[in-house]
Amino acid sequence: MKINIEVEKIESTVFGVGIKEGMEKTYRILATNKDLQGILLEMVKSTALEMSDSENSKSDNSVQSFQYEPSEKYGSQEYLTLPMTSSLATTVNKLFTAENIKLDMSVLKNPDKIFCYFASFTDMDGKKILAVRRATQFKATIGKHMIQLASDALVPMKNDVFKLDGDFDLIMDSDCIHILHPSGFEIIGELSKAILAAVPENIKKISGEMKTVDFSTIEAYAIKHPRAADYISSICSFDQAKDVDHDKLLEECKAFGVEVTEEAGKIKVKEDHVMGFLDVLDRRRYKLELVKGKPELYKAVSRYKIAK
Amino acid sequence: MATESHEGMKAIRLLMVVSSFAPLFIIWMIRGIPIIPDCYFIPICVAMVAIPNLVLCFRFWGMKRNSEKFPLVVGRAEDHRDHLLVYLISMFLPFYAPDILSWRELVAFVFVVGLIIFLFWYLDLHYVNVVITAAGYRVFTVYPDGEHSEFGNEPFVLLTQRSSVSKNQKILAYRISDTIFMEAGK
Repeated sequence: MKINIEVEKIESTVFGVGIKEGMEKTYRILATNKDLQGILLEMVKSTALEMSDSENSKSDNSVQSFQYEPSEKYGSQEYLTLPMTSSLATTVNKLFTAENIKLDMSVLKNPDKIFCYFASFTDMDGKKILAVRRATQFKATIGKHMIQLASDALVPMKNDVFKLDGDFDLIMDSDCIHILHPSGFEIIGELSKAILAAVPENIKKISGEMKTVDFSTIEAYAIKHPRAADYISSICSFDQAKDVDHDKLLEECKAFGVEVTEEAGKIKVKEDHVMGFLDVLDRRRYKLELVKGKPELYKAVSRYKIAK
Repeated sequence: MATESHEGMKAIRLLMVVSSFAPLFIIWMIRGIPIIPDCYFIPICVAMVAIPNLVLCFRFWGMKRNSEKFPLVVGRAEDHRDHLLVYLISMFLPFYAPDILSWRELVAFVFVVGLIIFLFWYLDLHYVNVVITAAGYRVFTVYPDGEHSEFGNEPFVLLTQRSSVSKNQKILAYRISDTIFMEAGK
């Protein structure tokens, strides 16, 4: 993976936190010294290294795409990407493009409101990256007795101690979001809210591609069920609905026990079988016949397209 | 005025205001006061000039050493040269105030100077400083543009050697206080 910045030419480093007050989220920057700025840069390098390792291991398995899919189940650490132009990147993009974020050290007096921390780096050519991490460990020591070695005795620390993680959940540059911890990205990026809100628009795009399917039942179901909304978002992002053959679709639904009806030439899905239908469309149902005459049907929670 | 928001670093702000009154203490030192011998009065005035400025120099040295640089984007900028007039009127106080011939007049004069210092501090006029001006810095109040300033649309003060700043200009600046920044040189 390649991050679009000259690490050796960093001109400014800004550290900040995200604060949640009720339903509202905002961000504040904090003053830091050069030592902390150096540590933050080391965290970025460490994150980039872990991303490269993850990327290399996937390439060995001939995985074609690293793009993040909302419907996919990911491990705790997996390198994925998402274009900054994606609708899923709206929330994090807002932080990336934010200007003149208010400097306010007093936010550290209420650490329970901090939900994430971030570091922004700008190089001498004006290129910028932003690294973000959930603040779970950041405030883990608040309220606990921390001790330190002073002279020749252990003494309690008087000031609050905040803890940095070893890496970031994601790093953004001007083109792309590089994700290391998908669950962290989903929380920071408020994805579930964005995906549910995008259901009507996504259904409109998919139904434009698949004119022989009635999506009304599917839309009504997906608006209330986040998993279905995730599937629809993935199907839309990866153009999975494009050029789908009507007869082949009916054949696959029948093979996998997905109950559909045909009314006026349009396929209509029963509400109980919406997830099954979306499984088929999202390429999660497959058949293997390794034993002659005994076909086996599987559902994949996680799948990657591989190069031939 | 520059900002109505919470402004941190109260001690630094107060020192900046006292530092900006250096010309007044120098004029006062030159004029002298009949009721206080020069052997006491001059060191007091020298201390009032030197101590705040030394502390500020240390602050400036610290912010450069810590590389406390922040990227700022200009929305709308106002040049506050008019604040210098208020400042100058305060500096010339020793010339139009009556001669201090008694302790009561001295206490009253010190009270007036203290009040003016408090008002400068309270109204966030701590950036009006003859030393900063002599170093070639101009003072602008910058109002961030609304489009990307969702998380910080409050005005801040920028000290820069530029003769003007324009909209959408990106400036890298050192932090003097939470709302006062000094452009970092190349």
